[in-house]
Amino acid sequence: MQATATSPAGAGGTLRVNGRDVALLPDDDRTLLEWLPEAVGPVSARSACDGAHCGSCAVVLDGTPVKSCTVPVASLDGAEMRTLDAYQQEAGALAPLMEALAGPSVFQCGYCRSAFFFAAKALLEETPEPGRDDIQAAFAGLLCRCTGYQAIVSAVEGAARAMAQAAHAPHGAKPVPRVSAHAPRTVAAACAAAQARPGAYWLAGGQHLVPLLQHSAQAEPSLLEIAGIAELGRIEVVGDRLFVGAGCTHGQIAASEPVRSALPDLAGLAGKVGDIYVRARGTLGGAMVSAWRNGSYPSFLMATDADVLAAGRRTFALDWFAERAENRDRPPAELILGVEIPTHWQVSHQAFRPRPARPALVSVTGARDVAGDLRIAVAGYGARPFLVRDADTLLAAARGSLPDVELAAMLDVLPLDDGEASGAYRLAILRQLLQRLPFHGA
Amino acid sequence: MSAAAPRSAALPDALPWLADAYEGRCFTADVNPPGAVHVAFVRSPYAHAEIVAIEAPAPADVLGFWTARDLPSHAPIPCIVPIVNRDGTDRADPPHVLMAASRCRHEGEIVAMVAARTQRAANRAAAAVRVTYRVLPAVTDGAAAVEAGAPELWDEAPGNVCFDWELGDAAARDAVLRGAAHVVRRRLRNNRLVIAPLETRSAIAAPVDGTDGFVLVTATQGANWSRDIIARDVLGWDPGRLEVVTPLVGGSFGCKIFVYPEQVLVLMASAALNAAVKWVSTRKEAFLTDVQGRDNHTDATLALDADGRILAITTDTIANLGAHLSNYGPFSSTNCGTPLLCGIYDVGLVHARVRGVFTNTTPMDSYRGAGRPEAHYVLERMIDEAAHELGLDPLALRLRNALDETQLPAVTATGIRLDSGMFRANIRRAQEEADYAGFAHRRAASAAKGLMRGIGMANFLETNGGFALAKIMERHNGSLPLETARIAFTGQGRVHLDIGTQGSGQDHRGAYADMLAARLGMSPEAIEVFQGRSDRLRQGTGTGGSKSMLSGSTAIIETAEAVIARARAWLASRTQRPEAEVVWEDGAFRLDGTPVPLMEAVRMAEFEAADGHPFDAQVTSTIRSGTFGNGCHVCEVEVDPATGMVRVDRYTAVSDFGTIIRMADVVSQQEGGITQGIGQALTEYCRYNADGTLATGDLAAYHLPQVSDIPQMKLVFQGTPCRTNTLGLKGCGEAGISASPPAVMNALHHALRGEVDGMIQMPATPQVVWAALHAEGRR
Repeated sequence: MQATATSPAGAGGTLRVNGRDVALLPDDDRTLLEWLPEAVGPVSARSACDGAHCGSCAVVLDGTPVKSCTVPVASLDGAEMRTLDAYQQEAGALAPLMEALAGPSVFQCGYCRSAFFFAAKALLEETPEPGRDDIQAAFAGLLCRCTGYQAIVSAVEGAARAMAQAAHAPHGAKPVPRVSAHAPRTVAAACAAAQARPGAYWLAGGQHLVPLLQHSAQAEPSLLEIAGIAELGRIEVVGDRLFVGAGCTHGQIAASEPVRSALPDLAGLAGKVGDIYVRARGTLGGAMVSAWRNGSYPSFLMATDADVLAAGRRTFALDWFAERAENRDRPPAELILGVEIPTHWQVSHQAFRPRPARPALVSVTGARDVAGDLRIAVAGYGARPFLVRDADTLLAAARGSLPDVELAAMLDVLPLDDGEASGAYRLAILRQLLQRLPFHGA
Repeated sequence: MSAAAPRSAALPDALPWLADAYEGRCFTADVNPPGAVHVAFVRSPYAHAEIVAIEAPAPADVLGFWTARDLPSHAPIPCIVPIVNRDGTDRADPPHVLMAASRCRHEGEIVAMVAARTQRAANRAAAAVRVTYRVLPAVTDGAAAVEAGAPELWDEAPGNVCFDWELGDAAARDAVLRGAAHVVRRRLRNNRLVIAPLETRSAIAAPVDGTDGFVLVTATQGANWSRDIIARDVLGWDPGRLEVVTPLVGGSFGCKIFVYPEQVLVLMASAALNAAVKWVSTRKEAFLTDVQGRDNHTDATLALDADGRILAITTDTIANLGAHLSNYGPFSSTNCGTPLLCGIYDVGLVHARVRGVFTNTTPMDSYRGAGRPEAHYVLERMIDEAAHELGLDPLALRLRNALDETQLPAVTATGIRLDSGMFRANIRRAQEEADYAGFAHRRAASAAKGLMRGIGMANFLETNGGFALAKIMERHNGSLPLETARIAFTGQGRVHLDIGTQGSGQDHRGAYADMLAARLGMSPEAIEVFQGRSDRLRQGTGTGGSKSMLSGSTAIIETAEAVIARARAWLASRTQRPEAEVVWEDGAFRLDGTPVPLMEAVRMAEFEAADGHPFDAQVTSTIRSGTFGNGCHVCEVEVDPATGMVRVDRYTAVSDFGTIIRMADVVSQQEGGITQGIGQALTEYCRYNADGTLATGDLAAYHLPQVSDIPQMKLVFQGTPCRTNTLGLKGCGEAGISASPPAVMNALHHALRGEVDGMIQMPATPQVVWAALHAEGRR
């Protein structure tokens, strides 16, 4: 690590990098990944995929594992981050993990090392004695091209045993993401900022910033940071409805007690969104905007007849996703505050995810109330998510021997037929998922 | 056998920013020359288009702007592999230009280069350059490219055919096929693969002050070779004007061997601007311009006698070469792969016809295995298909035809001289280690869960050493493969070893240090190994074809012997006795029975030469014999018929790599190779849009294997030391990927036997498998 001399706080504030304060420039529009080598010299967070998939650029930011390509450096005044280099100098309690990962041919070229180190670190903080399956799950979606992964899994397994034996300091409270001093703290302030900067992107957490910032032909689009708005991070039960703030991360939703007791399948689906880094930083609102077609949330919110709350209006999820589909090429103008989901349902969410940590091909949510009324919503099957018109009939048909053509005809929606999957395949998968819903037909 | 001091020993002094790269401590993108200029490329968004007009940016916005017309005089990037067609003519040789002047032949081809102060500014300026194109129809599939009426790429290659080559005797083939009891025919597809090392390509060029020379920092698989192609062949320079430095390389698998336009263009920009110039590829650029691998259509025929003995294998292949000829472009599908069509078996006759064809796609070249995995895929799949057609057990059919140890040494129908191997023993060991006996039980357990289980086997034979390449280049230089090492004693008990091979993640340096330490009777910790430095060695062939342990060890051992000879002569002279009385034994000299370690002699002679140490030596060795790693893989898959998902549940590999130097490294190479092969078989799918642009152009759409795709493997090593090299070693780096695609696909076909019509081609994605299971009239 070659860090430049410590600078006094500049107009952009300071970021603590591997124990040294580094001055930030005002209005810096670089990602943390782009900024790091330019500001402090080469670090082991490395650029590889440009799409926030692989994890090679991982760092830990205020205690949270993040892909540095998803973080605008301007938002980091006052934050503290470490790259793998810091742990190579001084690993502390993580020494057994460092040592295990440095074993002979655990990696080959080592370019991806940060992805696996920080994922393992996050896993061990949550689950000090993980099984092999837990480690595999923590590594889902991360990419190494040299090895067969299993040596890395074995190394973490061995390190976990060694660390569990050492008196392991209990893990403190979940760190709260830090935001820049100038970021809006209220919805009103955020909306005012948006009016002043038309065309700006709301920036909550885990966006893919590289194409937007580094490779764009345009002068950089402006980003409106909204992680500082407390209301967006709220989860609470109000009567028979559950409010989940748009700024909640998938990880928070998955771990939230109110969510787990009121709508366990929502916690379950949130726990399967993306990879371990995406769950630590990506938010509900971000997923609703970017994965409106085939993400897991749309079918859930539509089937449960949720409301989407935006600054100044309340919309049925059904209508909100239809609008989103119409405006697919534009960043959303309005600020989503959260969703309000009726909790009187018995809900089942089923998704077929051919590639772990990547979006599901098709997902289905069924919701039944005490009266026995059933709603089913589907995402990933057609060009947009939809609510099934006659859920009971469709469910019975999917379970029966009705030929695929006739099942398809009941849907009113044409299946997408693209390079990713044929319409016939999407239909077959949909049928599978419908069959897995634990509801008996009417 | 001189040990002249490095030619440009002053390079890091002249360019201090080079220090980390020079010592191999960082990746290329980590190198940041102060004040460097950054370049970005304007690339064709179309697969096939004429350039009508290019509007240069305003001079105020850029530091430099170049189209093909603005480049200094140079030659195209050469394809160094000659091919003689069946009719005796030479293959077509259309130019691999640095930039398209009037016509773009694949998406991503360079149209212009811009230079700016920052990478951001260069990217933005490049994106703003207005180019007017006239879009042409495009063809991306090799088989479609040879159909009448297909869009044509090059006037030099009518019908898009670059070459029409054959191996073997067509008349003899016809006679064998006529007389055979069984003839099994299949069409097999070897899918196109994006090599996708995680470190993208990059290049940094800088003038060396006070000279007319340049340094190029860039990932290679051999700095000397790349230097010669770039400086001598493309730029027409005295190669001494350019030094290539290769720091750490973040994976290559073949694709960073080859010289690319960007490496030459940054040099040209550096010369024009008299400044350091840097370029780092984006992932999108990598998908569009790094060479890709495989992409064959093969009509294969296996002829057997009534007893199931293989009489002949014949193939008719269309090999997609992409839009341009890369350095070795035609090599994989012809001379490198086809001689292995007989694998480990006693096959009487091999005949192969290969047509190399141009398409509007990224140029193709050697990806890990370079034709050998393609040959094994054909052979090993055909054996399973033949077994099925003849009602035989595939394992028994393999045993019946495998060469027996008593037949070795043997010369195959394709002229390969096999020195050693225990092919039948490998098969039997694999049968035992993979627990064939328990398969029926496991299949029943799967069936109880509604899943289908299959088991498949594939053997492989490697030919490593660089001989195929050296042989086909005979017309040029008549040489056997060479490699160079240099040993220098630098004081304080330290040794510098320079070697011309180049690691890209595999730990060659550690293995070399161990090897040399054993030879010189010293500790490996005292040895520092340098690679990737054209300035430090007079020659270097580089890494490729799983030969580095062979070629590197040959050069290191011969150089160590030269060192010992010098030391012995010096000791004899110093102690005034005949050299015969200075005995080298067990890692030390013996003088009248008193041991004198080499490093003690080194200390004694330390200040005797004005320049360097008197024992320093540099030797260029000739590699006289290749190696034949071999083995047998067994794969077991479970298929969910409802979704078509295929899961590799068990994987066993029995391998003969002769003497193993570092077990952990060999295991990792095996696992990595097998994993890439599982990716080819199941997940890696290169799709094109109708207009010829790449539909799977990022890592969200092109699926590399993930952790959950790969089982814990059972790797067994049982070997016979190679008889033709000192250490008895055999190449292993590419072996895994030679056997895993057919092992997976044989297991899949076994699982689906009776449930699908016809064959499933790679990649067997869930949809492909589901569609086969649910074809019209089934289920």
